[in-house]
Amino acid sequence: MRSIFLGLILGMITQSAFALTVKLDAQGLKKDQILPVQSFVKQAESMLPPSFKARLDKEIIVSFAKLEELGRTYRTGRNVYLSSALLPAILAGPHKSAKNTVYPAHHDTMYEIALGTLLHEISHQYDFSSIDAPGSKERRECLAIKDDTLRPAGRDKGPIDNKMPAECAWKTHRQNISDDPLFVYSLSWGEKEIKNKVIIADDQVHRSPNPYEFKSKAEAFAVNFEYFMMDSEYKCRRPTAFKYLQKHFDFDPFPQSTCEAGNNVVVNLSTALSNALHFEQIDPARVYQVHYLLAGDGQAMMSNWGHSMLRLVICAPNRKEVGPECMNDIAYHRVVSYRAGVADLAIDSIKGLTGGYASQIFMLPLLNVINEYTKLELRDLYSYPINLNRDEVQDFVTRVIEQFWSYRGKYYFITNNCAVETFNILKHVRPGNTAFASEKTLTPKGVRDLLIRHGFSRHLTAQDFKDKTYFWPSKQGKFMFQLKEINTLAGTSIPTVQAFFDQSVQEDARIFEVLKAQRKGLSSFLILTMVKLEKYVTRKNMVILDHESKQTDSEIYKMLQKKAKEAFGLIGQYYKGGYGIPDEKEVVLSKKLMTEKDESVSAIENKKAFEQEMARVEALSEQLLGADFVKALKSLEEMSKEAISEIKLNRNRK
Amino acid sequence: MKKSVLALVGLKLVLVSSVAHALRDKDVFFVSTVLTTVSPFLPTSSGAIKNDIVQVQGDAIEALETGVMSPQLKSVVDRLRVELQGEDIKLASDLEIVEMIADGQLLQDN
Repeated sequence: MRSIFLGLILGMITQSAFALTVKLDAQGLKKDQILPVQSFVKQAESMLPPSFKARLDKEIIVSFAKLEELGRTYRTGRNVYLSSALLPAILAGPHKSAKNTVYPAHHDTMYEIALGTLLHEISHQYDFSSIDAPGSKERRECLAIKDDTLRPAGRDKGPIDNKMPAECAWKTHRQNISDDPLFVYSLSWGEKEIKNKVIIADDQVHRSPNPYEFKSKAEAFAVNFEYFMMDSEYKCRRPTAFKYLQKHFDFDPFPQSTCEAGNNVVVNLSTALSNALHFEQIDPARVYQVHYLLAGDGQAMMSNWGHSMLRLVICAPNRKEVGPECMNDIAYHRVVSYRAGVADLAIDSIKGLTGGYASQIFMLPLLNVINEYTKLELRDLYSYPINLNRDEVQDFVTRVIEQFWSYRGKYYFITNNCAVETFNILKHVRPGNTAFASEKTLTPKGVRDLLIRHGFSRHLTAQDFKDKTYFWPSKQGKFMFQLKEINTLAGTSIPTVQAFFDQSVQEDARIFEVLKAQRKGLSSFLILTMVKLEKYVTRKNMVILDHESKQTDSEIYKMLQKKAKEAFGLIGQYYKGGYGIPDEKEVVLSKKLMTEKDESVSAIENKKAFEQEMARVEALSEQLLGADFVKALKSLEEMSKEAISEIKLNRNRK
Repeated sequence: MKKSVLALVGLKLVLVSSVAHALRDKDVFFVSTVLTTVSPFLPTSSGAIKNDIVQVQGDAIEALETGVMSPQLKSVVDRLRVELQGEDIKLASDLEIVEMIADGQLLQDN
């Protein structure tokens, strides 16, 4: 009994006295190789955060072996194996080793590759160990009450998600850091990826430091730990993951780092009548509020759900203070919209239902969104303020910027649509709120109801509706009023706005002549005609697209596809240089590349090519839609221009 | 409006080609429907302003009739003032700016 007691005491002393040590197994190394390799191993050990070493209280043995991969380690045991192919770089040292031209990692030299590999493998040991992270005790207690079928420690796959009660799942780790939902979300992975169905997406789109991170959550942790430890820019490129790791380890590897957050996004200014992409800096400190933006019911099948978006209330640059006045700066407000990224032009409903499209963030001007829903789709638009403090707003905006560059989920009409994606990003605005985070909803209205129920938002008040910065009604009523004016003045009896849109352009021309003669009602006529024109243009383009998407070898198809990629924001090819949020240098380079594209040929050649493109599109329009349609479209354009001139003339007469 | 200081430049929307998606009504797929080029009368950095002007043209036409500016239109008018402030342009009155928006014209330094 006494010896057992002494043994226990001794064991406790031993445990507290030791921390992680990394030792070299020199077997297979030549005598003159041992010292430099030992120094390399010690360098890696010395870099590790103190908390890492204290928690991973074991001895790790580093050996060299012939491996297909660069490094290897196992869940059980204490061995880390490095490929002997790394030896020359290690022996050459940090300053003389060869440049990395082989591996898709953002390490400049082969020595850095070797060092990164060792840190990567050691971090697996940390991740695989049964270190208690904050909350894991509560989780175990929760599970002990709810269900005792916890899967074996360290298992990546298995049916546990089906059995795990939601309230326990959110208590934090099972036992490893890579299982922590907060860590996985910090990487901007989607819901499906979290369940280990990782998308290996187009690497042009994924701005990853090393695409190997997409292999599993465990590899994601190891890759990110490697860059957290080795790249002074990691905190700016992946700020949310940096913050997570910094907090977890209570450690900043580069406290003197001077990197600056780029905060750039590409805003899509595309509408039915214009197209442009625009680089824009969003300073999180200049965002007054975040709102949940809900488009009301529409007529189309999917529109019956409404549409979920987020509104960033960005203050105009001339505002001295970030405050309620910023609500009026609508022209600066931006909308975050999760949509299916359809880059292949040929849209397939089945693909939409089965996750065939990537779900990605589009950044749009609020003005465009207001027009899109209230004017073209005749739907109401509601803006529900989300209750966040200043820090939460800034963290949220940073996360949005990060997701803009890194996030690619899979879009499912029903199960992973705009509502689910929007709700997922909202879940983490307050990580401690597990009750909110464990909720589930599939519909935009469901997201709104949950936000209100959990105190994150509120119902709109009568004053909100009056202010017109929280609510934009469908233009249906306004258009009807304008139509009545036209009917009265022109002696027509067009019953509905839709009937006006459907009637012949010859009839429009007749009405226009009557109004012109009376010098009245021209504004109403112009407003409705401009909407009609937009609808005509949209129809034309849809028909061309539908036709061209089946002719993949045509020049027009290629041109459309190229432009569609830009329009959809899939412009990752411009940004292959870095990972995560691009820094200013990358943005400048990207802008230059975009400009060079336009300036690569002379103005005359540009004009000629442009005219040829126009002629091709026009010919195709006539072929597919008929001469009458093309004529009607031109008439609408001319009528709009003439109406503007007439209105101006009348104004000057007054 | 002084001609030497203020210049009205037409914003030509030249329809080039088109694109985008067949499920226009299904908002999940909405993106741009037409690819067009806006004549580069303003510097590239002003792309967002041009977009905004296009977006509120209907509101501007309406405002000239009713005398009431929508919050969106007011914000664009304010934005034009802020963005063009540094370009040595003598700024017009709100009404003049609204007229220019309604007429599809833009303020530009000649």
